[in-house]
Amino acid sequence: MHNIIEEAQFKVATYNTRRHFLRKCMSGLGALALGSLSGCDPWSSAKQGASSHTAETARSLLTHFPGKAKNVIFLHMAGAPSQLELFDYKPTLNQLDGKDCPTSLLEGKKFAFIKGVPQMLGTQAKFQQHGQSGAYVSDYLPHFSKMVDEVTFLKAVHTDEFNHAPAQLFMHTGGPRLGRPSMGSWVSYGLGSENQNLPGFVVLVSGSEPSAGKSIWGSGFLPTIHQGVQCRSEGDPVLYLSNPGDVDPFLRKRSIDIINEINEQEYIESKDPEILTRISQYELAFRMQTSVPEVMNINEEPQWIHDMYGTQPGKNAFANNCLLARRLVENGVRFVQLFDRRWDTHGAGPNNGVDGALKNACQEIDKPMSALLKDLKQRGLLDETLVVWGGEFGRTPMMEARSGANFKGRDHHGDAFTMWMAGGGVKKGFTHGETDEIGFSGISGRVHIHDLQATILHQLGVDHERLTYHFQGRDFRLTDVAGKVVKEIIA
Amino acid sequence: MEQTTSDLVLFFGRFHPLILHLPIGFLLIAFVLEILSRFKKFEAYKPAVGFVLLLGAFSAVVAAALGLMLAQGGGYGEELLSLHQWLGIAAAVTAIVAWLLNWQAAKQASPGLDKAYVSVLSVMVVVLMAAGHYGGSLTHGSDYLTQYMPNPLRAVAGLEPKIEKKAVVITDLPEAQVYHDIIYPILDARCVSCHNPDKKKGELMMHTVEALQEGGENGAIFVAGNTEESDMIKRVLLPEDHDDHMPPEGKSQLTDEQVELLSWWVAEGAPFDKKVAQVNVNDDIQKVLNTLVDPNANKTEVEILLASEVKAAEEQTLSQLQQEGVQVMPLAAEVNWLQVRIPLSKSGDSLVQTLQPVAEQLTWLDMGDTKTTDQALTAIPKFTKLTRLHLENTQVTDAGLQHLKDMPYLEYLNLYGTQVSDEGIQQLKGLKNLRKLYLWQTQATKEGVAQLQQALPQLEVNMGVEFEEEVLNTVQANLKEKQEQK
Repeated sequence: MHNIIEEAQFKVATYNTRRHFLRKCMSGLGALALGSLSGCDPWSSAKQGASSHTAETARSLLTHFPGKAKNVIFLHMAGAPSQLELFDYKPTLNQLDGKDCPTSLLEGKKFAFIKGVPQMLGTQAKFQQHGQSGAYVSDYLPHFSKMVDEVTFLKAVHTDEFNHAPAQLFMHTGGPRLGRPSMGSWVSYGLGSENQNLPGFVVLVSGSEPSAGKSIWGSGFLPTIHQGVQCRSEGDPVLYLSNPGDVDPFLRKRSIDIINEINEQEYIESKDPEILTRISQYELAFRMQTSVPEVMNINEEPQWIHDMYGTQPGKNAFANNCLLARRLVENGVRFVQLFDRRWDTHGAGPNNGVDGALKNACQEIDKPMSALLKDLKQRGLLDETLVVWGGEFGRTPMMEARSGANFKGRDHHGDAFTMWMAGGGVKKGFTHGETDEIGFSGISGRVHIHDLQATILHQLGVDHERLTYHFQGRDFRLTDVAGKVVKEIIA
Repeated sequence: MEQTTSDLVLFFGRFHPLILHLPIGFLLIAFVLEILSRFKKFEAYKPAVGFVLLLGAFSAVVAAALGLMLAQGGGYGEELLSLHQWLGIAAAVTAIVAWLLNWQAAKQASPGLDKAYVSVLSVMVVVLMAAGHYGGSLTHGSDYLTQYMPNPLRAVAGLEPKIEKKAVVITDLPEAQVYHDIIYPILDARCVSCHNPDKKKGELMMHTVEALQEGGENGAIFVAGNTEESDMIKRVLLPEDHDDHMPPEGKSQLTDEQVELLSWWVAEGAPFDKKVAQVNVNDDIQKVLNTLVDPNANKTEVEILLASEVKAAEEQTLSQLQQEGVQVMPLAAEVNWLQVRIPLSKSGDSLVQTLQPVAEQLTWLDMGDTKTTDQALTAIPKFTKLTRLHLENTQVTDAGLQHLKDMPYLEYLNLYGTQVSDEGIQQLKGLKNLRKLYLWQTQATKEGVAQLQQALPQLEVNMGVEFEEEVLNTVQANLKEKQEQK
């Protein structure tokens, strides 16, 4: 018996040759670094020098119906900003400031940190109505408050998760656990890229990496070419893309050609479709060598643009990423995902509350995100670009007081929080949904995360129920088995 | 006296539809075997008849018992139910009798016994068929079988000729009857199939005004003038997967507009005899009502155009265009309208000429950021179905814009970063469908734009950030003034 097992193991070992081993290594690493989409380029037959294999791997990339938006820029405030200090104005909550929370509100609720009976915490910001729509925005966001007439507010978004990593996964993959493809990957899988020289799904991170890690822009069970490609705003935009020291572009091109020739031979032998993916990834990576640094170089922007966004070239900053997002969209990248991690305002210590710390965080995003909207608009891009802003959940109307001290912090809260959208065929100067008098629960127009995802896909011309991928015996989709398009906000 | 039925009874009752097909099958096959066995060739079947009859009689009794339990739950029209019930019981009884006779006949054959046996068996089949038919009527509605019956056959069956159920088209909206012309057609299409005299789900019928007013087992289904207290409105507004949602999950649902109309009708006091002109109609409802007169009432001309059919461009033409370097694809799957993009490295001047064969389908054209000049625009007038045109960051000038002046459907025009000026944009005055115009980084001025907007009041013009700031500041100042006045 023992001998049989040993023999089987030996057979497996001899079957896995050096080539198999190398290939396995490469498809993981390579996909991370390159994440090409050229195999899915809707314009593929029109482009110059395209490999014939590209056409072979190309699928029909037509939307289910004509979409209002072509691109999405998703601004994710990782850590979850407080809606009660930014958009959801609750005068009643201010009157209750410092009073004990009624226990009826706490029954059956789960909180990440709140224990016992917390005290209510009035808003720390000053609110005012803005624009023709008269939307309330606090003094934390002076620039953005001028943009309210471009925006649809979703005041009663709710999620199933109350901790950062699962809630972030839920927001971007439709499920709280690892393993599902992210929204950008679904979009790339469904629509492909508009630019043969750039990936269809680009990720830009400021602050530190979101707590759910790189999985939230992973391609899950979709082909790896749909994975989000993280570009950095300092140093090399994409790691391992530039040529090694002594290798000139000619040599690089030659070696890629030769590798592809070998791959082609291997494909003829084995007919493994993943080989075609590899070939097109090599080709895209080579094309990206010039196109990516070009797009990612914000130095060529005029000074007044830098002033408008508040960018500082070479820094890792949300402002730079906003400007990059515009440049990427301008160049046909379908889905640009920004993460900015500085929003977890528990008040667990000094400079961690919804007063000073949140206000400082707002200063980092206020000008750039407002500039992004304006800049997209004057170029005519806002009509076809859907901008989405929000955290993975909201914050409680109660003070968390984890450390006992009075640091004015709020706990995680998934039952009701505010997100906004702009452009891409959603209404302008519109508010959908309403929370109760203290902003604890949504009382009308509630929007679940799956509804949000369904709506984003809908604006791109995709029916969330029909964008599926067969895996492990069943069809999967971004919105799991739920989700309803929020028709009320569509212009 | 309130009579409650135990859950267990209802639980077993629900197995009635599962079991009832057994006696139908068994008893029919018994009948067929009996007939066949009378021919010499099939004599061997004779002994099987008794056994199959026994199975049929037994399952018929079980089915009848379960059926009685199911009926306890209510929700069925009494007349039809009682007919089905007695026929079902009769089928079970005749099956038992037939089996007994068959058993006797096997023991001692006599012509009299055989005659009785055959007649009971025949009656049994007829009764069984009838029971089955009325059972089907209970479940699917009494016109289920005949709904799609061709007219000649209907004449034979003594039924009235089929009347095509057309969506009621209202021609004179103010004179239209709110209930009869607007509300009842909705109820008829979505509610009445389960709430009628044959199938009174929840003891509710909705086929007549009286029945609707009477309500169901939970009482009245609407409170005139109060949507929040009206069960009917509450239920249609519940999430579709909620147990109390109507129509039930999986059935055809009401559209948002239909829900709006129902709510409006209840809010206006649920009148049965008023005309539209006699009730309050707000702007939202007016919009919905307009679609009853003209389904396209709330759509723009461009929307109507793109929703209309156009014949597909030939595959060969498309691939030829691709080869020449034009990027062309449909707006969406199963849509023949085409979007075209001139690659960034090329000029539209020569490529635009190659688009002639798809002039009929071409509706979005993107030449933005290319080396396109006025020359390309000379070809544009042939693309009469063009709705979106991107010319940003090209070399087009005022001279080129004259070619755009008669585009009937042009809705979106992006000219930012071009040399156009006030003089040029005045040529766009005739574009009645133009809604968005981008003029940032051009020579156009506020005055020129104002002049254009006078001719095209619905036109939205974007002149860039600086201009926007100015507008915003005035809006903000106005708002402040208003607030201070309060």
